[in-house]
This record gives sequence, structure tokens and C-alpha cells, in this order.
Amino acid sequence: MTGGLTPGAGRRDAGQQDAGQQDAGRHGDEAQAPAHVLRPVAQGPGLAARELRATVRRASRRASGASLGDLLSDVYTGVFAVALALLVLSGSRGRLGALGGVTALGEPIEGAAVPGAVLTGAALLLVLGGAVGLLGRLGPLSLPPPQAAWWLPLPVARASLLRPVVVRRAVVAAAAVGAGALVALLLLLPATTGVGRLLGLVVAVAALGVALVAAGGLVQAARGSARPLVAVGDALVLLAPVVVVAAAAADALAGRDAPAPGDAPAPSAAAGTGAWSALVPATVAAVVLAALAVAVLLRRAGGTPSASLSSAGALSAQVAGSGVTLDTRALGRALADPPRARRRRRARATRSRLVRGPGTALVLADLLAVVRTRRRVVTAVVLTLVPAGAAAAAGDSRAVVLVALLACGYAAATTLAEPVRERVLVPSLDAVLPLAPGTAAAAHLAALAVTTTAAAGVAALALGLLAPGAVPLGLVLASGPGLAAAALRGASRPELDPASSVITTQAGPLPVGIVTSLTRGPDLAVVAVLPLAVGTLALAGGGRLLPGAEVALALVALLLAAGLGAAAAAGSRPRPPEPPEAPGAGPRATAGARP
Amino acid sequence: MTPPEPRRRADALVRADKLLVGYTGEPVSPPTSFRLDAGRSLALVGLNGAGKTTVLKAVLGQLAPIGGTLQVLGRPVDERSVAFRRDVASVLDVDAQFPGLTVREHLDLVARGHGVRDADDVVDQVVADLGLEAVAENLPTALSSGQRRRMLLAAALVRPRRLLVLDEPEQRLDLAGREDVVDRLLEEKEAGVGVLLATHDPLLLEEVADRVLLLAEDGARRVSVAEATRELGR
Repeated sequence: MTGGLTPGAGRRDAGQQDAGQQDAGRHGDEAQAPAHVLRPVAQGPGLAARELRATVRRASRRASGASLGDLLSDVYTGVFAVALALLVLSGSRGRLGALGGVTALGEPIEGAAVPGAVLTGAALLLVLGGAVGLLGRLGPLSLPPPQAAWWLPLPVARASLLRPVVVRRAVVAAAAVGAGALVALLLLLPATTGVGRLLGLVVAVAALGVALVAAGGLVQAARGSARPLVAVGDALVLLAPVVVVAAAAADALAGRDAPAPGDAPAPSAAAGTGAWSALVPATVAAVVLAALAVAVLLRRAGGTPSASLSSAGALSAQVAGSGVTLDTRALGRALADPPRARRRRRARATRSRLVRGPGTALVLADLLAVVRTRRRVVTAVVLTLVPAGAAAAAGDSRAVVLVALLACGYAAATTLAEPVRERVLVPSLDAVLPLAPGTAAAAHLAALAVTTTAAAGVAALALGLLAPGAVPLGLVLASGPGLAAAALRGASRPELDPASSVITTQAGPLPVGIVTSLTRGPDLAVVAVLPLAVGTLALAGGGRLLPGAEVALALVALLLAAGLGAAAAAGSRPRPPEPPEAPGAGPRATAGARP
Repeated sequence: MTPPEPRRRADALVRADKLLVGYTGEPVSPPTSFRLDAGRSLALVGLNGAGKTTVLKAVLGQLAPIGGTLQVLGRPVDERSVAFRRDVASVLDVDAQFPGLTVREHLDLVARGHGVRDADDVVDQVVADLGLEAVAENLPTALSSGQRRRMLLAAALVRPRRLLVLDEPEQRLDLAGREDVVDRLLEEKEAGVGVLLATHDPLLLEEVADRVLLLAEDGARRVSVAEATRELGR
């Protein structure tokens, strides 16, 4: 037995004698405890939530050593960055909405047109859905792991513990949605739009975001999870390109000989004024709704289960960490929905028959990992629809469509490559199968090629519907395997090393290692879409691409994909461990050992 | 402070009847029934994945049972209730600390958070008992994993409690540390605290456990300490 408890027993005895009737009643068994046993006794309710926060804040500040100057410097930098961004944006007002008038690559594209109001609405849906979905995945109520581990077990009123969290979430939701909406509106609304109207729209959308997030918090407090909020966010994000595509499809079905956007009669001033006049009551209603929702959440947040707060806090920390290290793949993994167990069991029973060997097992595993994570599928679908939306929005600019195809195609391929990234991070998963590392990499590439080609097919289909003459659609499809190779290369890039080499330039220090790492993957994507770019240029010049030329370019794209794939697969194999250096072996010894 | 709650002395601290636990509706172990009284200890043993930690999480209210009934301190589990948190202490495998707080400050936070009388003295005592004096003023980053584990155990001891729930308290501890834990748990029992633990350690089973519940695929059953030790040795 530990003998050092006797002094504590003395204190315990004194404590028990002084303890009030309440403690004596609650701890009725303590009276029978042996005298040597230490039993801390409560003399009151303990620290209040505010005192807890203050205690930790004081101690943390003391340990960090950050001065007031550091704080002021951070604030100054933040304010300066925001002001600079706003100034830059103010010079681009209405620029995106005017893209239809820019002819970047040859003749105008024949295709559907999308009204500006629809584009603006879709952009706001995207901003609102993206922010709400993200905050829903991060809780919306959460406590960082240390707070969750040390504060939640304390007998402090949880509602008061979570009060700052609720306020902070509301502010973050308002800031995120408001900033996104401001950027979108500055770019999309005509430059003549008044500042009052612009700010009114921003406030209305931001208030709607706050109301949705607060509603998600209420659901989390009642059910322990805010999945409905995530579903709403995903639905809004998915709705955004669908709205654009639907509007463009409606326009296309209405007839391509409809008047060009420039010739269309302007909407009546009365209709415009009516729409704007509804903005004020709508904004007021949204703000009142948001305030009410936050007020109710402040009262009910105390019902949130600790497990929900802890898991959301752990996820938030993971997301923040991947943001700091610029690891977008880790970010995607953190935000991916967990697979659903019931469906998994049924799927295993039906699809395992397709496995013919270790290679097909790997391919099938990668495909199932993609299909079973709803967020990956939704993200990939949304990204594949963006080029068609861009074609409809940008009107005449093939360059915009091409850039959208490259960026969104690579982003979709990266999303679909998340399971491959997991295999690369944990090579032992592949090692359990009787497969050479090269064969395993080829299997991952094959699975990725299937999904990216399917995504490219969706993109081509949407483009064919909305802007059939924008780019050669066969080449869009043929670029899928090449983008798969690029995504595989990106998936196998090593973690960023902040200590990598830095070159001093006149523009400041250039972290070469980080830049090299970040461009690993996108570099192959640029090469993979070269045949598509050549075909698009040919379209822009001659107006039509001969079928033979398109087939030849498609073959080139596939051959290129095969070469890129082989290179990417070779780069994704696990590296053998480096032999330990002999003690005292310096550069001279190494040079001397060379045969 | 809330008014005293009437309690019959015969009430079990924990009473589980055909308790079914799991994740996303999928049970991880067969229905389990057990009872833990004040001053007694119950050990859950079983292979990895048998559901020991999941049962403990259910007892702590961190996971809703899928089926059966579970009562802690005579009521359905609700960890959101202040009374529940005041009476139930736990040590799970959670390795999260405030990076700016020392070991002593962590423990002080817990003691003061529970309104402990003479919090400084109590913290000093537990720090000494668990061999943390040398690192008491260190930040968590300067601790070994075993020392962090000791800190978690200390946090459960600087506060009042009627039920102590421990998930593999022997983890990452050296032999001396495990013997310290054994001593402390015996003292807990003497003081009338109910101890519910999941463990793979024969020492804890032999010295501390009054009853042992073996969780297995074919069902949960009470076994003797000797039988449980044999199971662990397989």
C-alpha cells in the first residue's frame, strides 16, 4: 500500500468534519472509509465556466510568452490583408459577369446563355452551402481536445461553458458566408449596383447562414449530431451547378436562334425595382431569424452530449492542422463522411463475387471506397459540372472552359484519389496481398482511371448539352486517364517539409521544396490536357475539328496517359528504407566507398 | 450546490440488464448484464474488439446503448447532468492536454473545478503518491507517455467520486506504476468507491477485481479471477 497517504488522511478528516450536511448526505459511504484513505471533498459547486476559461487563458498566456506587441502585429497584419483584398476586388466589380463579352480563343462558342441573376443566385447557393456544410461537419458546436478532455467532466453548467462557442460559431458563420457572398457579388453583379444593395444582399445571405448553423447546433444538442445541416449544405452546393445547367438547358431547348444576350430586351425597370425593394424586408427577416436561432441555441446548447463535442473538436483540430500544413488531401480525408456500416455489409455480400485475384481486389476496394463516401461523390459531380456552367457563364471564352476543365478535372481526380492516398500513406495495406509493388500501383491507377474517366464523361455530357462547340468532347473524355495519372502522382507526394530549401529572390524567400511538392501532380495534369488544348485551339481557328484529327488526338491523349501513368505508378511505390549511416561516416567516407 | 439526492443504500452504483452497445446501430458485443456496488470492483476482460471500452463508454454516457437497460447511481445515464459528473470519475485512453498548463495546473484545475476543499494540498498529495513530483511543473510536451498516463490517473483522484471507471489503467505504465495503481484502487474500494475497469493486466485482476466479466463473441459471462487470468494468458 502507498504509505504516503497519511497526511492526506488528516486533511480528509478535517474536510469531512467541516463538510456541510449536503456532502454528508451525498457521500454517505465516506463516513465508513478507513482513516488513511484520501478522499477529496467538495465544499462548493466548483469553478464557474468563466473562471475555468480565465484560469486556462492566464496560464496559457504565461507559457506562450506572447506580448501585446505580437497581438497588435497579428491584428495589423490581418486587417491589412483584408483591406488589401477588398481593394483588389473593388477594382474587379462585375468583371466575371462581363466575361461573356471577352473572346479569348477564336470565334464565339455556340451554346446556351444563363441569365446573370441565375449565376448570382447559384454563386450564393455555392457559398452558403459550402460554409454551412463545412461548419456542420465541424460540429457546429465543438470543443478542442484539451477543453473536451478536461472541462467536460467537471460539474460546471455546460450551457455557460458553451456560450462563447455558440457566439464564436455565429460570428464565424456570418464572416465566412458574408465574405464569400461579398466576393461573389462583387464579381458577378453589374458595377452599377449600389453599395447599399450589395451590402443588403451580403447581410441577408450571412444572416441566413447564421440561422442555418444555429439550427444545426440545435439539432446537435438534441440528437448529438448535425447531419441534417451537412445534408442541407451538400444539397445547396449540388444545387448551384444544377441551377446553372438547368437554366442553360432550358435556354438551349428553347431554341438556339433566340436573341443573343446583348440583343435581349432589358428587364423592365419596375421589375428590377420591385426585386430590390423586397431586399430590405428580406434582410430584416433574415437577421431577426438568425438572432432568434442564436438566442434559442444559447439556451439549449447545454444539452449537447460530450461525445459529440469531443469528436467535433478532434475533427476541427485535424482540419486546422491540415490547413496549417497546406495538406489538402488530409483536409479531404478529415471532412469525408464516415462510411455507413449497414450498407457496407450488404455491399460486401453482393460485390465480392467480382474479385478474381489480388489485383481486382485492390481495384474494387478503391472503387468501393469512393462510392461509399457521399462527400467524395458529391464533390466530384459538382466539379464535373463546373466547366459546363463556366461555358454557359463565360459565353464566348474557350480559354475559361479549358482552364475550368483542367482545374476542375484535376480537383475531381484528386477527390476520387483519396483512397489511393490512404494506400500510399500505409503501404502495409497493399503488402498483405501477394502483389508486386508495381502491380499494386497499376491496380490503383486502373481504379482511378475508371472513376476519373467517368467524371470526364459527365463533364463532356454537360458540355455537349450546353456548349457543344466549346471544346472537342471526345478529347475531354480521353483526358480522363491522364488526369488519373496526375492524381496518382499527387497522391504519392511526400508530406510538406517546412525545413526544405529556400532560395532568396528579389520578391522575397522562395521555398523551393514546398513549391516543388505542391506542383507534384498538377504538372502532369497540364501535360495530360495538352491534346485537349490543341484540339480546342484547332476548333477556335477553323471552327471545326475533323473526326480523324480528333481520333488521332484522342489516341495521343491515351498514349500520353499510359506513359504518365507508368511514371506516376513508379513514383508511388513505397521507397525502401535508407541504410543506417556508419558512425563517423562523413562525405569523404561516402565518396571513398564509391566503386 | 444542488440539494442532496435521496438514495437507498442498497442501490447498485451501476446496473446493466441485457445491455447492448455498439456503433451506428451495429452491436460490438452480445447483451451484457452486471451490477456494481459501492466499495466493490468489477473487471471487464476480453479480446481486442470484444466491446470492453464500448461498455465503459456507455456507462459514462458517451455512447447511447443500442438495447437493454443501464442505470448509473440509480438513474438512466445522462452525462449532461451535473450530478452525474460530480459523482463519476473516469480515466479513458484520451491523450489531450492544455499545451500551456503544467501537470500541477491541470490537476489544480480539476480539483478547483470540483470545488475541492484545500485543493493545493490534495493536488500535492496525489502528485506525490503517483510519483509526479519531478515533473509537476513541466508542460505536457515534456512528459513521457507513461507520465501523461499517471497525470490522467491523478486527475481522477484529486476530485470527489463515488464511481471510478478506468479503461486499461495499466497502459504505458511500468511495473512500479502498475503497483501504485493497484494500491490506489484498493484504497478506493476501502473508501466505498465502486471501481469498474477494463483490463488485460493479471496483476490488477488478481489484486483488485472482486468480480470478472468476460466479454466474448458467444456471450458475456462471469468468470473467476483464475479463469480470467488464464484467458488473458492465451
